[in-house]
Amino acid sequence: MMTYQWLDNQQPKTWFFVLRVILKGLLLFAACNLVFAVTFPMQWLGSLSLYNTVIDGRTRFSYGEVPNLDNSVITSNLSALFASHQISQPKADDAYRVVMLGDSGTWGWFLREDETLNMLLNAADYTVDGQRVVIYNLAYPQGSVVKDLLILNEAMTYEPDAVLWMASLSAMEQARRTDVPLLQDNAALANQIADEYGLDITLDEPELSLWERTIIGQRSELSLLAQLQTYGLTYAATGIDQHIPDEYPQVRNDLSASEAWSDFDAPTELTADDFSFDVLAAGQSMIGDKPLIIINQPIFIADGNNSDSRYNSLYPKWAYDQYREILAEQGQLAGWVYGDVWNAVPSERYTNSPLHYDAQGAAMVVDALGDILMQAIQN
Amino acid sequence: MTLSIIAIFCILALLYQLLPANTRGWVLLILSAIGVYFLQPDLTIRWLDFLLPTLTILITITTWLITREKQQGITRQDWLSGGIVLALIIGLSLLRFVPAEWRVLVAGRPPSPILVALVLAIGVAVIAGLNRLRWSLTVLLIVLIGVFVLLKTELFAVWIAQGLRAWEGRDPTLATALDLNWLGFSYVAFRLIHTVRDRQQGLLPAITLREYVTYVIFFPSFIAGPIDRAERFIKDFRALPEMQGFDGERFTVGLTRILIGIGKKFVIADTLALGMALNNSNATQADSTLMLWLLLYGYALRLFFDFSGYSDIAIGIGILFGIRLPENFKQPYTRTSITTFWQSWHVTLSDWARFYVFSPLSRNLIRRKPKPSPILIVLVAQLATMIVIGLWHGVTWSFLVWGIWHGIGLWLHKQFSDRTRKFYRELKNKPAQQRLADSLSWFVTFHFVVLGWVWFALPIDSAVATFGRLFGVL
Repeated sequence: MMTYQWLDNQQPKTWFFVLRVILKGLLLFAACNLVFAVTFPMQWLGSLSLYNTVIDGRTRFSYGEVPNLDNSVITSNLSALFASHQISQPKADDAYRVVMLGDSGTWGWFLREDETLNMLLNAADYTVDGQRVVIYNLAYPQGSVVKDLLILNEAMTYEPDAVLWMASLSAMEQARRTDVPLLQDNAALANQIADEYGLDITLDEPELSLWERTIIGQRSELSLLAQLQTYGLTYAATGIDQHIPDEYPQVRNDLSASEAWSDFDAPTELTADDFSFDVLAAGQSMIGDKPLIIINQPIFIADGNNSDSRYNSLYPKWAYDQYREILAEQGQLAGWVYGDVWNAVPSERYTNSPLHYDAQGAAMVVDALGDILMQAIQN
Repeated sequence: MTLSIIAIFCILALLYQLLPANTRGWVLLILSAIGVYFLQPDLTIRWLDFLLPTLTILITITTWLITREKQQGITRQDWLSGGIVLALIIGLSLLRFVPAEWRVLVAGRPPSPILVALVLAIGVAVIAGLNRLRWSLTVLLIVLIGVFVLLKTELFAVWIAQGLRAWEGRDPTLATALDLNWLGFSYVAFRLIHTVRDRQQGLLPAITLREYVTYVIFFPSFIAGPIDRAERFIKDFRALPEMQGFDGERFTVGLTRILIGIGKKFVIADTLALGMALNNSNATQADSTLMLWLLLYGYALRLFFDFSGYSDIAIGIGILFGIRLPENFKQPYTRTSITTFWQSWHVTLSDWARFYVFSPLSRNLIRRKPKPSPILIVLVAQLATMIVIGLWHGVTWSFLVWGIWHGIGLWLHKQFSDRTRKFYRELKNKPAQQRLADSLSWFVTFHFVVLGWVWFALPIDSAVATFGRLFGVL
């Protein structure tokens, strides 16, 4: 009978032998699971990466809804996200690092890597005091400035020299600012940051059971970490980190008559308390005296049905106008560099959402952003 | 085959050891007959996921009837085997009346038992009719090859699917070849053809219906081979009553083999499939030659671990049930010539093609008058053999080119080895040079095989472009 070298020893393969091997195997597996559950090395495992060594780091965070097409996965493991990002490379002596925070529009939804805002800005070869300005795209396609703060906290390890924060009404909305998966999956860290900067934020920290902490319990997360590495090869081979379909539903130009926004069913007077300015202030505290540049990002302005009361499917005019006004006021009060590029992109340049624009739209945003950025960091 | 199905087979193997020795053959028959339905995936065309397995069994019984020796009568055991199988089919159709969540042995809701009985009655009538035909073996061979070509040619498969959809009153434009996903038919057809050809040549031993049906649809090798030979299979089958029930040695080897297979298939191959292996989308998108080569190496490894992993699992499960299926992969990527590669890659398929294409064709060519040159005979026979192996995977231009690629490779190697035999014999006394020659041979063989996978993995237009890009031409 065909056999294997390591089995081919003097020991007879009786049933006792079989059961003993199975028992030993099970015990060993149980012990491994127990050690894993106790040490719970998920973040450490996330930091093990082929990126930036064997293959180039990603220019934006991995975010793939269809992994085999996007060559990317969606994981909330911050160590893994950063380890796969090119910001993890050692900082060059002549580099001036600017980290860019924001949501899917800033991340570059349905844009090729080389069409994203940071890549276009980098292509402009800006310098400051003889240093190359290198802009890193740390946007993540979920709308919340608290989520941006979480990322900024992690990014501080990589010595940023300035922060370019692309704000939006959705991300600044006070009422649902913690309703994003990246925050909820990193609740303990988010709460810790909130405590440190005095933010009124408390996320539920679900206590993982011992079983959920084992290798078996974490198998989906472990699989995602492995996939992030394996898709790295195709990413490196193709430079594609998001599949852009030939056809997709276009942004809606005809809007509903509803004027509801956040918890408000009808137009009302908004105050700074309805927005997350405390989070932006915490961001400023986090980076100290380094420049913080707040930009109100572009939105699609519809001209179809009900466009007299709404700008687009996300924002009624009454809420958005007040948001812009309050953002400008607060920016001035806090001494942030503030820029508003809300209408920098014509409506025909938007793709599938009021926050997503095409490559030409991105170039227009960069035209408007470049000067604001350079003025801020040169001062 | 999923991990849960493998676990079910392992549990069944344990229970199997408890059975009285003389019932083992019957149990394998029953498990294999049920397995044909259990393993068949759900199909969109109504009842097809029940009717196709039924057809598999009917064709198998037909082929047994026609290929058995004429002096071999139909024994009581044969009648009993046929009765059990037909009763099982009717029994499974009764699952129609069971709630969907309990219907685990069949893919979808079976047709009415009356309809199934009608299909079986027609089947039996056709079997009886075919059996009386003078040229029944030839007719059967043509039918088997015809059905195989229809299923493996996407255009024909889509036409049939369109027809079936239209007959059902559904939108025929949604038809795809996957509508006719007749699980295991490629392997079943080649086993059946083997017995038909062996009967025509008088080589097939007397086989009972129970042995024959179990051989053709043996559940561990039903989905992905190996393609065993009937005479070898029945030796193990007939030895089942003498087999020791709870044999630690057999379980050690079988379970080890299954674990190795699981590691190869579900850990290595499936991981490589996640972005580390060539596919049609990354082949066109890759922007550097080096990366394209890496993806191609990834594909080569993935294919090996996938195929050989499945074979290991099948062989391991077979061992647990007392049937030792033949080896299918013998470290093929370590071979130093394309000829030895094909003696170690999908061995049972290449043996099949050697027996039923290469040998008869070359014999036929040798007997021709005027006799063609030996070089031409080898070229034609090698090409035909490898084209059959290629088209067995699917009737497409890509598989045709892949077959031609290997056919020419084998022919070139034959010419090369004929002319360098003396040189290699002398090398045996020069170890350093021998090692160098072996390393070079391995390198050339491995890359010849790997480049061949470009045709295997991609549609023809994409394969041509990728081939050019691998050498910086396009």
